[in-house]
Amino acid sequence: MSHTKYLYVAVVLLIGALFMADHSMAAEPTEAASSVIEKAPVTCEVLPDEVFIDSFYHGAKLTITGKSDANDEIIIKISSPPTESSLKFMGKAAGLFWMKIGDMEFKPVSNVYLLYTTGEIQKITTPEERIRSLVGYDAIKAQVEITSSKGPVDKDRWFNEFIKFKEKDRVYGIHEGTVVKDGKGGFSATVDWPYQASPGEYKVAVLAIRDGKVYAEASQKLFVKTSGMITLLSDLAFKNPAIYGVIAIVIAMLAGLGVGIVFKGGGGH
Amino acid sequence: MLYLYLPLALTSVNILVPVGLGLLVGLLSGLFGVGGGFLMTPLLMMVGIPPTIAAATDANQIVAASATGTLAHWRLGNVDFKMGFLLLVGGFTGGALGVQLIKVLRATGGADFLIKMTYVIMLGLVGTFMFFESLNALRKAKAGGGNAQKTQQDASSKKDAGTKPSKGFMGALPIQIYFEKSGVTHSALVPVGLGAFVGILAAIMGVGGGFLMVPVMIYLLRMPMHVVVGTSLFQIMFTCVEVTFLQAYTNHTVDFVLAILLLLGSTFGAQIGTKIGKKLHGDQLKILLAIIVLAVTVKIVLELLMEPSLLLAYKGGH
Repeated sequence: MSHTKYLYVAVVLLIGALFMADHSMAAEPTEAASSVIEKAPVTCEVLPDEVFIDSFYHGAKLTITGKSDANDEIIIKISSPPTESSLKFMGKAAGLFWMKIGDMEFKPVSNVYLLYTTGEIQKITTPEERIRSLVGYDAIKAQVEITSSKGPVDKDRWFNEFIKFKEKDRVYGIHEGTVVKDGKGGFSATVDWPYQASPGEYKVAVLAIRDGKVYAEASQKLFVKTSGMITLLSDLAFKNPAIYGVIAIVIAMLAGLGVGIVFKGGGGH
Repeated sequence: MLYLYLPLALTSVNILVPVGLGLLVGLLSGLFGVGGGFLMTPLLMMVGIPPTIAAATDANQIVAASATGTLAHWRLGNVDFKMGFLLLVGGFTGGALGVQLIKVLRATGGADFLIKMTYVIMLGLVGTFMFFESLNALRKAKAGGGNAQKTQQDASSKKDAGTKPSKGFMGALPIQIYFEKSGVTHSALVPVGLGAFVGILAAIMGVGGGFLMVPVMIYLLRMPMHVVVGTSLFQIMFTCVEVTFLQAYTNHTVDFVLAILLLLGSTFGAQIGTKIGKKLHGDQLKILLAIIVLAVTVKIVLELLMEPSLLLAYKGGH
């Protein structure tokens, strides 16, 4: 009888434990979900978050979506880690001829810097916030240091030249009004990822703006990788350059001689 | 449109662009015996290929174009292998010297100025000289009323003169050799020396040197035009084999995919050029080449005098 009593107690405890466990497990996501809303009132999703460079690659279409407060302004910033950019600069040699006359270093600058916004940057952000959050070309200019092998430089002039150079290459760009809001807090932007952007890791940051200031941020990494034949040839060129060189020569010779043989019918002797 | 990604240039191109450029330059290669480096490298840069990749990959595709051109001209009996080999010995030596000279000048910062000026002066001189010389020859031919007999007599007297050594300084040099295919006699030191001179200039300018070698063979070595083209292509082929290997090995700048696209066009272009060339008179060929060389010179001069739209450029190349 006492055994039966103990058995009842054990079953009740077990059911209670199972219920508690089940209850606690059910409670966790609710807590987690609420903490996400509190800590990060803006979300960011990049599709695809991996871009593979294959033989027929010509850039990619990315879709960036997220949620925030319906009244927020949104800025999406895609950038690579800041580094030193070393370029050649043109000037007049002998006072007459335009040619490359020296080296110019820009640092720190990202190799890729693309902005997508819901509105005009000047209107949706304050000047201080732009500098603090590194939004817009003026913010980059404020922190960049430009040095030249030919002495002091006119920072305004050469920074403008730098932006012109990068925009021509499509790796820098400010696309105002391209982030579309659905009126319920959702937003989306379509990005034409430039094929000129080299393989590497990029940061996609979504900035939620209220009263001209960034009050919340969410980010996701974007990976650009080579694949298939592109990786194979690139590896061969850098790891076995002698073999790569010989293959390049042999194929060129064979192609040349092959076409020569094809044309034999119409040839001379 | 079908695009291909270039693994070393790290850029994407429409397939038709490099194939079309290859066809155009290959056509010139077959017609005139020039590798086309002085045209192709700037054209590739114009379509967005980085300068270092453009120059090195161009050398790779010239291997194909010059191989097919050499084969076509060899079949026509237009390759003077003896002369070509001696020019090649000089060209390799001069190329190595030129590379060292550029290294020194790059360190002192004077390389770009020297390269641009060498381009303008050499292209300008060669183009102008060839243009007026060919124009005079064409006028004389017209004035002669197409006297075939006289031309034949001239040719046979030229052949007789070719067996004798040159007069003056070149004739006094040792190791006089008769070059049967070209019908000229020169000291072996002459083609070696001239090859070295062209090799130095070619290394400075970053091109195969065909557009310099062709006038050297015509005016200084007095070789007949049809043999000049074949022999020039033979010499260019080996020079570009050397350049391709060195660029691939030391600088990793040969983009194999781009080279294949270029050579798809250039090999066919070279064959077509050779066939067209057979139908044209030597002086007509020379005047056409002179016009192209002068047009490139004018383009370079304008580029030098007018402010470019972009004042920054990636490092590397000319």
